Amino acid sequence: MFAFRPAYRIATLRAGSSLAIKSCNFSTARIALQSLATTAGTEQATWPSGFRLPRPKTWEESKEGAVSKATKWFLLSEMFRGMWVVLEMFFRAPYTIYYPFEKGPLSPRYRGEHALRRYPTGEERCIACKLCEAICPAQAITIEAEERADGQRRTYKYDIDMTKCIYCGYCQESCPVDAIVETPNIEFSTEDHEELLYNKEKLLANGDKWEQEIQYALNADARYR
Amino acid sequence: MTEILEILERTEYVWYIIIYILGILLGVAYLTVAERKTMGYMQRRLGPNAVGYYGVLMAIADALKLLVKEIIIVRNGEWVYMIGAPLITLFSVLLSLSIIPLNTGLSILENEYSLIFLLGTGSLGILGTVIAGWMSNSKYTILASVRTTAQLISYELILTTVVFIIVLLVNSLNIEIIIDSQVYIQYVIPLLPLCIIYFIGALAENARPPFDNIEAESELVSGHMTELSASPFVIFFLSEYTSMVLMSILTSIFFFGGYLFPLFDINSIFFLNIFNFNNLYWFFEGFIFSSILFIKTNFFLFTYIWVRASFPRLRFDLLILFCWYVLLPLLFALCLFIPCLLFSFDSLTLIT
Repeated sequence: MFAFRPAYRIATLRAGSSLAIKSCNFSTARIALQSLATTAGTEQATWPSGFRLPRPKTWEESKEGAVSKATKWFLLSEMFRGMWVVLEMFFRAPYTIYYPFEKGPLSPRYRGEHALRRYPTGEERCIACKLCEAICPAQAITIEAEERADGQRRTYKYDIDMTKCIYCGYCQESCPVDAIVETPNIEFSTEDHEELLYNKEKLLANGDKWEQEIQYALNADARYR
Repeated sequence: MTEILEILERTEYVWYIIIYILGILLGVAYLTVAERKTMGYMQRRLGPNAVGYYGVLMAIADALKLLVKEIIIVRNGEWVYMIGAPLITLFSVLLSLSIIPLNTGLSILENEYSLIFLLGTGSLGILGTVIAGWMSNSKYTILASVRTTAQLISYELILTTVVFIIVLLVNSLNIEIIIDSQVYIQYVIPLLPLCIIYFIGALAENARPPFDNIEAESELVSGHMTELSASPFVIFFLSEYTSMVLMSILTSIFFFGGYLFPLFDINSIFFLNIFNFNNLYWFFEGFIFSSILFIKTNFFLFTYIWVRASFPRLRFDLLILFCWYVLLPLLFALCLFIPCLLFSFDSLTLIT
């Protein structure tokens, strides 16, 4: 009797738990929730119902007759059940997105092609603090700075090697003036390597081109920052 | 004008064969596209959809691509045989297709012993795979051709035995008499187990998944065709799909009444009487009956693709054991049972 106790406990907890969990089979959320509901955070291990198949019944245990079994075996009933599932899928809509014409949703935090932004006055934001260059784990950013004619500290060289970049987003996190950002643009493939070595002009042009999208993304994400 | 008509009439059979072969090859080319589309939709994706509307020109694009490619012959391989072997396989299948009647009397080779011819030409196809594997001068292709031969010969035994039982029932080797004897009941009903066995055997004989150990492209490097490229490979590919069509036609002829359909009996197609037995009459009659065969064949082709989308591949030893330990004992039991049944109803006409 003692040996059956854990199983019995799980059964009673499952039956008595007031937390009804409705979710898909095999979703991990369900496992986590159910273990909380049934074990109340103890180390008692549980698994979702249907996670493990029961041991197949032996000849003595099963109630099914020999003729029925033989019929099922000879007429390939399991095979046809599998084929029926496939046929159901055949008549359902495909999941395909027609890519160049349709595009999937992108997160506002998506880290795509880089851009250097400007202030609404047209003044470039970057103050050449070189925090992005310092934090860049792939060392893809090279910045050279000098004093401009009006006495402001500005970059005269801001290069990103897009083939080195790992798109980690540390540069836009580290930037104190939100100058370097990663736009939602993912379609910037080129035919040769040189075109992916971005200089300051290219990055500023990207910023001018993608300003509206960058603003949308920042607005959408602002609540969580 | 009359001279042209005379020439056409003298070369009637040449035109007939050209139309037949072109039709078959075009159909087979579209079968490959149909397979990709069908399997695509079964896996909830689209398949080829870019070339032409709905991907209809994909067959032509594929054929062009494969035919324009460079033919690479292995330096120590026998090039005559490497190019000739696929042709042997293709011609064996095309020869087998020549006995298929599209309507009563509407076949290229119409004779009393068409089933013997069919079994003979069907076996010739193995020769091509053996030659291609051997003459590529590579141990892997030789291993593959040995594997292929083992599988094809094993499963041909099953198909031949099923055909033998049907011949016992019909008491004829003529394929049209086999069809005509299914006017009242199609053989799928009395011979359901044989039909299932024949379908499984046909799957294995065509090397279709789940029995495609001949060319298991995800595990082995396309078997005996490893060293072939461009058009020799295409011809092997084509012959594979042509034999798929052949096997579907044969399944529909042996078990589903071929070009016969109960609702479209020749006596019930009254509207044909308006043509008053001229050429238009024969055209429409042939069209209706061959369409029935066409629809049945398409159903089996769809089933081949459906099975391919459903089941994983068998291990090779399981494949061979399934033939020799499961299917063949069952068939031998049926080989004893059905003649006994026929004898007890006094219809085993072989013993007179």
